Amino acid sequence: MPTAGNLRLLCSRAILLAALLVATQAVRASEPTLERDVLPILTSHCLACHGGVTQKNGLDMRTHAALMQGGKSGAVVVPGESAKSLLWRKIQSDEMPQNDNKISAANKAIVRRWIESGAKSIQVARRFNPPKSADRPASVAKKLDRIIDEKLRAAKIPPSPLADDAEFLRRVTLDITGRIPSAAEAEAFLASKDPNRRAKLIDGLLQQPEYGQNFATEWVNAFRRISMNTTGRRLGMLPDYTQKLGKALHAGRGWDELVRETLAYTGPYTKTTPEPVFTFLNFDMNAEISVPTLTGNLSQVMLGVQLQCAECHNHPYSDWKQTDFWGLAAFFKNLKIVNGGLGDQIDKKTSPGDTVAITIPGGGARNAGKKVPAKFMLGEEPKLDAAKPQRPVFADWLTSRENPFFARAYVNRTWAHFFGRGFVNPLNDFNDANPPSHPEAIDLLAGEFAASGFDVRHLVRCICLTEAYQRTSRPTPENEKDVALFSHMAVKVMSPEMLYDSLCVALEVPEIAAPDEPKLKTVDSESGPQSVRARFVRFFRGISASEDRTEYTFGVPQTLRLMNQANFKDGGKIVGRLLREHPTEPERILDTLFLNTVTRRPDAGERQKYLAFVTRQSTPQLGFNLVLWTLLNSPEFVLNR
Amino acid sequence: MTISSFSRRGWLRSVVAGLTGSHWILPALARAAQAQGARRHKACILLFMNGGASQHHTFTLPEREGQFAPIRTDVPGIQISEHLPRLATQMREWTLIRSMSTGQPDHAVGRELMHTGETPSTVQRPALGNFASDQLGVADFELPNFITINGIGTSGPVFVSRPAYLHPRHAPVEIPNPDSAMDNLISGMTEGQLSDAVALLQASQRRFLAEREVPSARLQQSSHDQALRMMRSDRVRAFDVTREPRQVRDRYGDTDFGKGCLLARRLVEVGVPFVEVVYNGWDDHGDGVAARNIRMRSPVMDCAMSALVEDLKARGLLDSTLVVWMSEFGRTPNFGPGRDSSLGGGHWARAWTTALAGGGIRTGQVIGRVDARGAEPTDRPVSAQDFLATLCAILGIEYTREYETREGRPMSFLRRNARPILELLGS
Repeated sequence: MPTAGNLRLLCSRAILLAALLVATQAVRASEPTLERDVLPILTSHCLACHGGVTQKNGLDMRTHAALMQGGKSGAVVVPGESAKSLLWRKIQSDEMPQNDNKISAANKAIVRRWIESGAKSIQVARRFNPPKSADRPASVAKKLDRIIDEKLRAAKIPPSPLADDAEFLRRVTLDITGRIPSAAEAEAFLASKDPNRRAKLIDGLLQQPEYGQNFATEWVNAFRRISMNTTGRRLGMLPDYTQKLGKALHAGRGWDELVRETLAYTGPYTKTTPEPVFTFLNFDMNAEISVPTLTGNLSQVMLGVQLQCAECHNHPYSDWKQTDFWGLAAFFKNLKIVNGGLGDQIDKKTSPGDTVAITIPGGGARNAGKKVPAKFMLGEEPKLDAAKPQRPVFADWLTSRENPFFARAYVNRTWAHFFGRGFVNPLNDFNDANPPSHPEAIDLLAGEFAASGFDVRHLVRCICLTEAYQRTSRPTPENEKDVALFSHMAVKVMSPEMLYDSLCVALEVPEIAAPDEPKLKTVDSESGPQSVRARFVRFFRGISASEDRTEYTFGVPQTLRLMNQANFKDGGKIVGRLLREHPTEPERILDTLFLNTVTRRPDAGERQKYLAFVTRQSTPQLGFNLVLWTLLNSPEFVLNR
Repeated sequence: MTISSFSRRGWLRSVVAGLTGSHWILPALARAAQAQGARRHKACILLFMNGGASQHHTFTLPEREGQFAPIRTDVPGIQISEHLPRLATQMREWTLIRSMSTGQPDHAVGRELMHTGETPSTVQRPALGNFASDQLGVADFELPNFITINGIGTSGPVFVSRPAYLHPRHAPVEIPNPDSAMDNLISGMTEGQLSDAVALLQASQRRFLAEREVPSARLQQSSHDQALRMMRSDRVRAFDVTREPRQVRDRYGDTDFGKGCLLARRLVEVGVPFVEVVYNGWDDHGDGVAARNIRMRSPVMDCAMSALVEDLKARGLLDSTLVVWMSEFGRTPNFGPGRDSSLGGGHWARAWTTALAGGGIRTGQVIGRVDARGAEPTDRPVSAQDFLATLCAILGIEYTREYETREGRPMSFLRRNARPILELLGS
């Protein structure tokens, strides 16, 4: 019997799915599918008895395959023939569900229509065949646009037009390098008549070291968020690792290789230790490594699945089994903190032919005491040398080209980095009942990513060259409600790192220390946890652990700092420089300040108002200082449009 | 205020009528609701013991094999820990709910449940504080309507009360350190300069919103408006606890929690409707660990909470201010030696304790009973939904009021079948 807790879980899941339905109603194709239309109904009415926890009469209704297999009474779904389908007969007569929570007439009609139309599934294939070689980014982008535009047409949602060059420049510079473009960069780009200027800009940005740093920061933060969510423990900041990873990305090393290195790492804990390993270890020198925590975190970030639910029992609505969870955990069972570093402690009595298996511990889990052999998720049990560390074997499987989870999870995360929303949301929750909004698009990109040797630059080019990415973020009345189909660009919020680096650009200063902040003279001061930048980031990170890039997370204390800290009112270095260089050209100074902050020139009305404002102040320096202050405090600065 | 006290009373009446089918409780409820009519609104100070405070070492000592001695209080029949002597003299102001039964022994899940009434999912839900800001707060109030104190532990944010489908202005303002509660309040510009520059800034906000009406831009705008109101208000003095006389500060204790409670009192005094004060570090795993640690933490709690209730009462604010002491769950009864099974060593959500004071409720009583070990409730189990419904009923928050998400989905704070603890509401 499902426990009360399980039922509650099922209920909240049903609510969630209902929300999903509402959100996607506009785009629902005429033909119902199991995952999008029927599973939500089954989840709230049937899975408590025919799901992962209980399977009455041998019937499991969680997946298309299981439904087609039927239960002890035989087939329950005969595609095309509802009258012959046990599922329909039982729910039509209200014989099922047996409790009072009967299925509504409207929902019954959906189930019937689904059976009649052939009982279709949009389940994402678990087999994955990446192409032999990568395509040209421009042609991948075209294919992506076709997929996205097709969906928009079906939903009768017209896309917004392309962004103008200024909007595009600011967005792509922030997204790729993590900072706004300077006025000089903007002037050069806006003056260009080259028809290929956007593609060239993308290539140029990808050659900057800041590209590597930005992507490394994003990745390390993804791990931080996960480990903070699961353990509530914030980890030590190891910026040297972020820098090292950034350099490796900039050098063009494959993502698979970097992940393998991170996972198989053996050795001391130093500044350049691959931090994600420690992060999902919930690293604490005094604590023991929690293999279940590691397995749960790793499956979320690296595989994009919420496998942790299967720690104690089979997943109630997805078909992850408890053995999938523990089979994966078994690869890490020997992982130990050895001499203050990471290593594998293998029992001396182990011989190479022994089975590598982990015992499910007690404490509430089902099947406690059962030994589960190492097994790849939804895959086979590999032949292992039990006397050797198993992490490298796991890392090889994880990062292999044929593993659909690895490529899809990173592609989804990267898409969300650029679009403010993944194909699958939450980013780490790939499961049958949460299908991607654009399954063909995510598999196309995942295939390209794998075929390119996991070249992150290739992935970024494919994404940034799409029209979908280059559309304006100004919605039209017809598409303003759309959040899932990429009809217009989402407005994203700068991360604290982006905000700091962009403020440095805007003020033309190398760093922004609060006046009362102590100056540190250690090596740490440039990049360490006490560096000016790290402290700024911590303050602006505030209370947020959200992965949603469209969520504004800066509160009143952060706003007050931006408004009132002296650094943001003194004009930085830029106002003085402009006044020296162009003492008689206030329009030019104003234009430059606009370009250097919000990446556009003021319109005629603004120009008049701002210049009048400057003349009202006691000196031009003060006037332009305050102009810069309003620009830095405007939504246009902190939001990535 | 969005609705009048009158209609709120009407709502309370309908809730109770719906629950009991009788009207016997009405006079008491009307009295409880009237307390709020006297002032602008009721206020709430939520004291959150992050990590899961052991009931066995605070308010509900086990009958056998306890580690602390129970002591008598000023209410006959109520005994609490020997290490809470000040609170023991003021139990007539408190009600203990000893039969909390919430079923979620995971930190993150429990925090979400106890703040929003539901376990985490991809649907974002506002928390009690957000609803208090929405329904009790005054829209153009100079200070934030929802403030959290000490909410960022060494381990990052404890719990983030997101406004979700409510207006973004109902996001909490976080004060990580009560010693410097609000920095950067001085503009440095003259009022003339500031107004002139702010006019430009506000034009840029309107321009952005006219083109892109997104929640992030609205929140940017409302943060600015709030910041400006604060910069121009005398009420911000409330943020400065050093304005209190030395002996007052000493009574609360020179601790983060003590200063947090003092700050909360100052904020409620100037009209802030909801303040959450977090006390970190209650996740006491291990044999005897809870006893050792809580012996140290008890005086901190004892001073701060007793001083808070005393001061509220002395200022005539106790009847309109609800003080809530809670965690995300309680701790295990004695299941035998072990990190997670010894007394107080593990998480336990099936029977645990919360405490309420003020708010015009009936105090000096105990709600619910647990078995001799403190493992299961034997009477009046209280779910998270029931608990939050109780707080709402006391504060005058309509927990079944319907809101709409951005996608047009109807939502309410709590479920229709949430049952407030009516025994608390009559006086």
